[in-house]
Amino acid sequence: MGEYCGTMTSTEDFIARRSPHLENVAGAISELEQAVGAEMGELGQNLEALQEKSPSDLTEEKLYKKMEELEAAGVRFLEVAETLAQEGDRMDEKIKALLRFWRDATIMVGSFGVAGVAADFNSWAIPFMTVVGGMGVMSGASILYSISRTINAVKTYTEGVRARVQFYRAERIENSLNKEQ
Amino acid sequence: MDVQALIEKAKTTPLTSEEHAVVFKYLQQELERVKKEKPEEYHQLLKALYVATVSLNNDLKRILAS
Repeated sequence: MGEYCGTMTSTEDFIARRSPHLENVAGAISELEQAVGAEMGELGQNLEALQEKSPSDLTEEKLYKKMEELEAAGVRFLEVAETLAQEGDRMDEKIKALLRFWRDATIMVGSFGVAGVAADFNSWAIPFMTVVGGMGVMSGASILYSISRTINAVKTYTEGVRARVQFYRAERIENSLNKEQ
Repeated sequence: MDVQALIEKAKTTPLTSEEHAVVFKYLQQELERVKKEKPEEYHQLLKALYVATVSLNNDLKRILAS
């Protein structure tokens, strides 16, 4: 997924850097929970759409571009994990340990079995996100869990795209060798 | 399963779905506790989560459109 490094130190820094237009994020706890729930519902739908978009439908040039975009998104996801782990530094000791667990587990995603992750994700994570998000109810823990699953899904899709790119490359080399002979 | 042992394990080894579920259930309980006992801290965390979610969504929408 690429190299990751976390350098941010607070929620405010994170908000200013990632989403300047959201600099003044306000609202009561219940309002924010509902807002995140709504975003999660949309995220579930976007993931369904991404899974349905087959890499085999794309040209080689588009595949290269998509692979780069997905890998960049993967690095940004890890940045989110790092930011939240840092956020935990100012929190309750138990929460601090748990957010660090979430970051470590997220970084571990790269070594998950692709097929296993895909099967696991399709079986329940998207319906879970869509339903819970649709209800507009989302707690902090379920958001973290959903983000972990999002990273898994993007990783799976990236692997599919990468395999397709490697196939194209092999095919091109083979054609080139055949011509030389 | 021992949650603390799983948290330690996650530093070096990928967890199974079942193990993840155990830790996240515990996280759920702890966050509920912080929400009641330290609402300001929970509010800060929620703000970061909101921005994270919006950012993830924007990334996915852009990739889908490409």
